[in-house]
Amino acid sequence: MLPGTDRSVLESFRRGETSVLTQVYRTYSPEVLRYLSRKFAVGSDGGTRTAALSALDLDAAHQETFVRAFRPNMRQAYDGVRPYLGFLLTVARSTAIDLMRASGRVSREAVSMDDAPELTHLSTEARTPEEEALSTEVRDLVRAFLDTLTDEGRALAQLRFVEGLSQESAAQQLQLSRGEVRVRERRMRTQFTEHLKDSGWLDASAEPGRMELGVLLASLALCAIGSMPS
Amino acid sequence: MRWYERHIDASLTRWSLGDLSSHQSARLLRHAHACQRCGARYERWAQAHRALEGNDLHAPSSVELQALSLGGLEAALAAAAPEQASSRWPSLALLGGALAAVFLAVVLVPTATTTPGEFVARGEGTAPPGVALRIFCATPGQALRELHAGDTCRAGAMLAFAAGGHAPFTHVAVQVRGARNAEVTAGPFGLSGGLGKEAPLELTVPMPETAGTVEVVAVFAGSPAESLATLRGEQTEGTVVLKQSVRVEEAP
Repeated sequence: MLPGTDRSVLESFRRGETSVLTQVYRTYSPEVLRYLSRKFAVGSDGGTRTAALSALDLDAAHQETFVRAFRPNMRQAYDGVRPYLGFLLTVARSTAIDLMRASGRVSREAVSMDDAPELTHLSTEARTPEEEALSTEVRDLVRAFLDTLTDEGRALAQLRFVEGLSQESAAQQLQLSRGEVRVRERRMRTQFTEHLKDSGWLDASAEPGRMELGVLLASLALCAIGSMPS
Repeated sequence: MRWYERHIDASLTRWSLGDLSSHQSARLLRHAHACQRCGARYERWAQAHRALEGNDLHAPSSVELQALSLGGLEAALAAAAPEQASSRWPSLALLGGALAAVFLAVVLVPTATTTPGEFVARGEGTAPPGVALRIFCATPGQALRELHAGDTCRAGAMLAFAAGGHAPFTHVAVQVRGARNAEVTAGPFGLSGGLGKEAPLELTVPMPETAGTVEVVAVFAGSPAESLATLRGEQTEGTVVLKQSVRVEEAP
């Protein structure tokens, strides 16, 4: 029972009844998180580029979205006609841009390209060199962990983590009980945390400045090699 | 998880197993926002779990989704509180005038009778009545130490808190100014204990690395929204504001 599906629920929502707000929150929280974790195309005088929230910013933006959406004036502003998710995602987009402006990730003058439909054909999926480097590093880390597992362990990781199957479905495919899958998965997650600690991954400081410098030096080296007479 | 633990390492392991309660998730995230070391660890931790689940590094993992969803509900409901209060307790409006006078007196008394910027821990026998905030200094390798007026806490240590209060005070919001992150706002937290039985708040704040002064502001109110509104500087009736400065001494 969500606002937009029933008039009485909408009234309860507007009054701020905890049970309805909790239901709304639990229903839409995953959608809002997925929306906020995408890349946002932003434009300013300097051109158009993409920006994404960090894992911690994702928490802040998600919480702030619901804080804003649940304020009395915003609950009254929802008309009950349009799908509530669309209303909520508009609040989420505004929150994400505000947060990225506040953190300096995008300029204060930047606007969301979602507000300028004529520019949305611009690619938003391209990765920066820093993101490529990080992606390679973390995937190597995961691959090294998977290499330590048995064939059964790798199969379980594939079904549960990569394919996203439920524990029941994974158990059926692996011909195990659900309890066995639960225990093995828990053990695997514990092993993964040990792997993260032992590998030093958590202690490596993610200093963008150093990473950018590394990428810059690597680019310069490649340019220099490319310009050498053969 | 013990409430005075300094960092989030132990919580991260339980986070990855999906074992944290909503309060513990909220505390972990609050601490990660306030602590540079833990913030960086949380980012790396989240990236690794995203990769393990075969996701794009921008797509949250299943455990991340769970923790973030659990951690944000309380704050979202707190934002909606003013409307709830008026609809559930319509008679409160009728009593507003009388209560406002009493509450205003409570607000004004501490500033008139206590040393500016300080108050006595526990609040027993001292103004303001009905509420108490206790501040603790957690230094690695040393026992937890309560900070009374004029006490110091070492640079790089952590501040921890406990609070209690009698009706009509039900919530407290805390703001720490001058900590490692310039300003930390946390809560509102429900008050589960009275005076002399102050309960720990799910909040730890890292002290700055250099000498100076940190100011702790706690707002006690009869609802979550009122405590936050007062902290934001809005005019509200019936709230009690406590302030205490903590001196930061250089680590040896």
